[in-house]
Amino acid sequence: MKKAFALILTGVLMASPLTAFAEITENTDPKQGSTEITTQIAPAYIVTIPADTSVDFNTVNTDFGAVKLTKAQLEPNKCIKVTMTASGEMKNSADTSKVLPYTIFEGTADAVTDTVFTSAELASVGDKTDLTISISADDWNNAYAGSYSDTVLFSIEYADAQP
Amino acid sequence: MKKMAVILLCFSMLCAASVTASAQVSQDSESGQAVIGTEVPASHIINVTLIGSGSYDLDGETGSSFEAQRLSQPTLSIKPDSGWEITSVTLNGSDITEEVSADGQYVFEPVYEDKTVVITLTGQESSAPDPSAPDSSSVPDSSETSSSSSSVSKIDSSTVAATGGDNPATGVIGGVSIGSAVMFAAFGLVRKKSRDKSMENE
Repeated sequence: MKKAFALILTGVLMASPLTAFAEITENTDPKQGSTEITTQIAPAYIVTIPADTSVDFNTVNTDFGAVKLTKAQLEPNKCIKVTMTASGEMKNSADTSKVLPYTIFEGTADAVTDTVFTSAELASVGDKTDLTISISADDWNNAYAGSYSDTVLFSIEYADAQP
Repeated sequence: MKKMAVILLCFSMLCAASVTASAQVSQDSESGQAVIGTEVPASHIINVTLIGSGSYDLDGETGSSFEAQRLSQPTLSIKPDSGWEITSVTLNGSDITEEVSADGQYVFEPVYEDKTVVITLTGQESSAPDPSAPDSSSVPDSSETSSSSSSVSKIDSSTVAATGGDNPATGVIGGVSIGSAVMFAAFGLVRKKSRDKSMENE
């Protein structure tokens, strides 16, 4: 019984096609073969965004860090798109009807530009956009006393790079 | 050996420690956020200096430094003494004399920062008195002493107490003379007693 079982099993195995390599024989024409090697690398990236920031009273321009691509393994013609969403108004904690307007510009506080930041496309490691929180002198002068705050949201998207 | 390993491990962790001042977003997350905030003070300081003879008050309060609620509009009332008039009033260095009413009233714009006010009054002699020179011709008026800084008012009150009269120098010299006489008299008594004792012992 055991012998019969072994014989049957051997036969099944011999009948199953099980190829782990290619063959080139005297009958192969042309006498060459190829093997395809494949692998897959998933996109990987790390984007640094600004940390929580406190603005000193009566300061017009305050550094707000930067959005920066610190690690990137991207496919060709791809980039990381960082989009910022902000209300533009810090709200008084005691009375939310009292607001202090602000704008986030591109550039550092010492070299702030006129460009209001909305989004940035980062393609290479090191690509960054410096940011500044700007509050006008008039807005400071008209602000009621108290604590103000607002939350700024940065959204990340793996997108096609703009040509 | 174990201790050495622990020590080396701790040391390596210390060396590798870094301070991060930003947040990170990777492909595993789709967004990050940052909070921005600020504090706006509830009050501001208004410092007032008066040059000349007169007085003033801020919303009825006297002094040289006042705390005003933010965005409030206090009223400064200037009252020159008889024969004196307002020559100029400056606010943080800017001339606001024209904005002071005929009866010496000035209403501040909503206060949003510390303020410094300098009031200059001129007397009938047409020259403003030197606030640093003491007035020896008469006893200083209480309003005059309270209009300047507290240190000036303290100096004036001690001078009046020392004289008891018109010439402060005479009063001081007189006081020193009396004190010296008392001291010498006491010294003489002590010496006499000591001599008497020595004679008794002999």
